[in-house]
Amino acid sequence: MSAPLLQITDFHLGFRTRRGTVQAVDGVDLVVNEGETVGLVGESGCGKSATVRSILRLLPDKVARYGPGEIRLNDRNVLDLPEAEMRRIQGGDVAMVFQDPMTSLNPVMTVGDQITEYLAAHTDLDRAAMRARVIELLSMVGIPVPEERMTWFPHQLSGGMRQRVMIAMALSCEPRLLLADEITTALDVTLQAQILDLLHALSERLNTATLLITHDLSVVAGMTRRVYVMYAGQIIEEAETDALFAAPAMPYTWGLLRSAPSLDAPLTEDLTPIEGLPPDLAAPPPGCRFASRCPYRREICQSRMPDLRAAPDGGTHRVRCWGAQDVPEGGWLIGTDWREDTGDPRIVADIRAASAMAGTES
Amino acid sequence: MSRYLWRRLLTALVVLFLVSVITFLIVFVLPGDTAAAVLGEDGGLDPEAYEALRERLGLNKPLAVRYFDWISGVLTGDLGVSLRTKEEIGPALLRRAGPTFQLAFMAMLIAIIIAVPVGVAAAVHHNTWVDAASTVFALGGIAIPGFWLGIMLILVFAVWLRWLPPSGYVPLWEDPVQSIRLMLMPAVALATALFGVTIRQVRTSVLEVLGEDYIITARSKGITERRVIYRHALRNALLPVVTVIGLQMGHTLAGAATVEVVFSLPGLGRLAVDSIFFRDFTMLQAVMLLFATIVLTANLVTDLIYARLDPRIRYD
Repeated sequence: MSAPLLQITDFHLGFRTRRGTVQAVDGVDLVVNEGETVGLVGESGCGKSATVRSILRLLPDKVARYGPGEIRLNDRNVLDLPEAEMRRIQGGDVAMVFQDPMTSLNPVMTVGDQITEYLAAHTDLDRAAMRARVIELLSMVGIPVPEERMTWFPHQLSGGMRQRVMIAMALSCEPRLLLADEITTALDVTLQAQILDLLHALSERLNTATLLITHDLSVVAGMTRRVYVMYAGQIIEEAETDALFAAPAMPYTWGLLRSAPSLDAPLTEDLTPIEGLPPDLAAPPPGCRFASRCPYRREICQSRMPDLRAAPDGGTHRVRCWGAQDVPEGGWLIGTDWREDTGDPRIVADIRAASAMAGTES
Repeated sequence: MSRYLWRRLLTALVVLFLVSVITFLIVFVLPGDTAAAVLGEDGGLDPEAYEALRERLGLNKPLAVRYFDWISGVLTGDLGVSLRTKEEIGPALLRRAGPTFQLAFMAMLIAIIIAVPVGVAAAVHHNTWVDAASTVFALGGIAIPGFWLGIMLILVFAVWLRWLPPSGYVPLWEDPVQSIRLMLMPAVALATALFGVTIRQVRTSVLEVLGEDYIITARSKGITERRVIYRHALRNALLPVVTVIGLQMGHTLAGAATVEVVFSLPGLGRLAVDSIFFRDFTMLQAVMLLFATIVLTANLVTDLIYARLDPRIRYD
């Protein structure tokens, strides 16, 4: 079998700050195969955006420290590529759609010119052909009267239309990998489904692999084949999407599921937030990164870091949690029904007290 | 757009009216008396001649009447006669405007040509020695007085190196090369204060724009960093810079006065200075009114350019 389209191996990323280096990404392994849609889920600041931006080396040179580790695209490590090679990949082989369509388009350039810039950088089309291609792309993403809209400036378009323009831009040079960074977060709920459907249909049609970054598990559910869950710079659970929703293995994923509204649940049911705050990545704890917020924690969680290992249901499902792994001293969460058992109430009280303390200190 | 334009023009007219009143009144605040100034040291001793002149110049009429006489003359194109040279003020102003406009235009051009690349470099390499050097350069430009720099330039380039003529003026249409050579040092002397402020503004504004989301989008397109900065960042960053350059028009004219004196340029600034020294109040009033008109026009043009550059702004 040939190498996967994108293979991230033991990738580390540090940010230099005044308080020292913050280890934003700490040993991430992630694979995206040709034509496959993969989800990367986690809360704000967990390192998912930083990981994805590293693929295109979009982080500011002055503060970002890439490595150790590799990001192989078509079997070439992008972290070693010279700038000219990197530019061929940016927008060519790999394109990115950003979170906020209101601020991600240049306000003083027409949308047509902004799409044309991709074509000029990556194709040999002449002016007339580029114009025709821009019109084709805009109609492909469902923008009416594209001949006229291409001369509009971003402020003349609605948020949904702008995100469609962003998608048209990203797909303009038929990339093999599309990085979609929280693309529905800034949109109205009614638009979110539209944009996701559009992305899904287009990536199928063009056979574009997609890495979908989101904090919202429901976005991942309908769209992806496989999911990675990230917490505090590490992958803490990975599985086929169906397997993850059928049998999520560890408390952080449970927390994400509990804190998301569900259409099936009765309206009276309260959402349960995950208590506490993520650890300080300038000085990460020695044990499991989630231990400080985990209502199921035991002694071992706070002293030793668990590895990413096979989950109890086997297959490709892997999990980084002592309680979910069938190892000596571990495995106490195997078979726990996360809907019924919400953890030890005394530990929950401790977590609340600790985060209240942290709140008054800062 | 036209409604906005009308509103702006109307505002400008109100400001001009106020300026005309103030310039008219300044004559009475300044020490010295017009009639005494005209008669000179000796003539001033003869009370009869003095009274006769006051009567002839209309100085004995009430203030409001005199203002009305003056402003109705201005509005019909009759600016009166210079008390000092006895020539018609209108044509005199026109003759003096050429050197000043050339000086101001060349100074602004030099300032922009220097300030934009230096400001961009400072922003791109912020918190490095490049940034520090540009700050020193900019603050130096602001701090060094134009007249002093003018004298130093004459010393170095005209006296020691003999590359440029020390002073004088030739109209652009008579001998373009010589005209520009003569105006080069004055323009540089005047430009320093302008580019100082402009460098700081370009730096701040580019730095701000470089943090915007659309810059990351631009970088993800696979275009060169140069293009990201000049096509995406600078175009957005120049919007506030245009305003600053427009607002500096007033300072430019003020600076022109001293620079024109140093380089013996027969411009409006020197005319204003001479008029003050000789108590040539009719001329002084006209020059100040003209300066106000120029500044107001410059600001109006600035706003129109701004609207052209920023598609989000629609004046209506």
